[in-house]
Amino acid sequence: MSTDPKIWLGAIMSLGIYSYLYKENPFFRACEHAYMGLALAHLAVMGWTNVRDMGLKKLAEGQLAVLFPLILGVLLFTRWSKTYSWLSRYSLAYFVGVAAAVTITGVLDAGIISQVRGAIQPVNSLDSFIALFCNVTAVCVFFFIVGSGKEAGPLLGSKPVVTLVKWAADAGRVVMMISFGAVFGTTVMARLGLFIPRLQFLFRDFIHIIPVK
Amino acid sequence: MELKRTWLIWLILVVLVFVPLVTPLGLPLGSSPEGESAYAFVDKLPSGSIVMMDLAIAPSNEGELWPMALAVARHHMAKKHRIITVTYTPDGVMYAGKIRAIAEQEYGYKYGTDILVLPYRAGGESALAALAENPRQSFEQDQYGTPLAQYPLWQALTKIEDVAVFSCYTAGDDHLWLARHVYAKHKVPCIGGVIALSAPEAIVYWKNGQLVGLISGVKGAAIYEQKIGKPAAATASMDAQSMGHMYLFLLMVLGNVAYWRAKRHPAPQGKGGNA
Repeated sequence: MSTDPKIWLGAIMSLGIYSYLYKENPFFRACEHAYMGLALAHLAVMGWTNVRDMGLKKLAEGQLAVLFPLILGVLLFTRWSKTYSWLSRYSLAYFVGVAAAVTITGVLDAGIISQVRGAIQPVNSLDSFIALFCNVTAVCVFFFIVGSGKEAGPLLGSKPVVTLVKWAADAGRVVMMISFGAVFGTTVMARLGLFIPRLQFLFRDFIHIIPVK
Repeated sequence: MELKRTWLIWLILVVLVFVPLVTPLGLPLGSSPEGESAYAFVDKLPSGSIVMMDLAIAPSNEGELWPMALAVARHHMAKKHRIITVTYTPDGVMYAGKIRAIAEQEYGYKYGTDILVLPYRAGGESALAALAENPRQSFEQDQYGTPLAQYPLWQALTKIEDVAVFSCYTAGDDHLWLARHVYAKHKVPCIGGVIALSAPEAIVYWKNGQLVGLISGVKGAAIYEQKIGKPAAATASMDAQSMGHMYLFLLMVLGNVAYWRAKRHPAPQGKGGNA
């Protein structure tokens, strides 16, 4: 068994968190709060370091331009005041505007144009056929959501169109189920990916049952 | 009774995962064309190439992301690439420090010449976009407060196009940020290192050529470890992963069988039952 106090602390915290599997208990609560406290404290220190290095130090060097982001940052704290909370909206509006502008320029190219271009490929292999099928049926998910019936009018509500929409909707539903299944499978993989290193820590680093290579 | 059944399910999972950790079974890893593509790209980069690593790793995702980041970092070190780490996650600097220590102790890297650790920067995608536009203006000091201008490695980086490959290790969207701001605008090759959960979304970026490689989850990390000949944490846990998956798959099949059986033979009203 390890004699390192850091390993002991880590092991006790891990066991405390896993004790939730039995039921909610004070040991779990204490570990959870300690984790949250540590994470927030670390975040606060890193945030302050950013403000100090990128704002206050530069201001002290005479770079007045940094006053603008500093004031915007300070204005966010006016949310605590009922009288002046409206001032924080200017900061939020600026942040949202900048983030939207930066994101949209990138998304247009990388997320839309390039993806559409990549989806338009010659159907000359099984892979490309599956891609085409999934693209078409993914669009058909729309019909699964909105449906179709007599209320759609004489043409869209006619039997052949309704039957076609039903087939498309069924195909779309199958694609959705496959997609959800894939996401569920990878979620399981991700959770095991977090669980196994904890077991390795407890049984290898803490009580040395698993041999160290 | 219900509690006992839940405990039994967990206990069997722990045993099935634990046993291969003590006595490895040697189950096959399978293949990962997207991961192998990442390996092949890094492997062909010439010695001295500048590479950037965005370490968006935190304790909550360390199990998946750290093994792959370490494997790629070791690959870079073995090929004598010059590494610059950057992070937009507060905890990322801890892992950058670990990479620096390994580089100096095991590969004889010199800080400032062969490796640089940039500090955490708030701002997420906007901050990364700023780095892509002008690295020199984005950072003035390294993680330890030293002006970057004095380091030869920073002097060699005048624009983002000087970077041979930019990789990220993230449970969020950093790989999409790279595709948007580093590849789309500057055509700098990018590699995504993502948690398994993000793989279905990220893989289209690899298939579309916006990422030159994609490493996903522990499996991707294990395959990369095998490729560089340094089996480590991910490889050691793959047998356990496989056993866990088989068990959960079996539970899903049993659950579905029980569901259909209950549907065909519903329990009489008022008799209870726990299907």
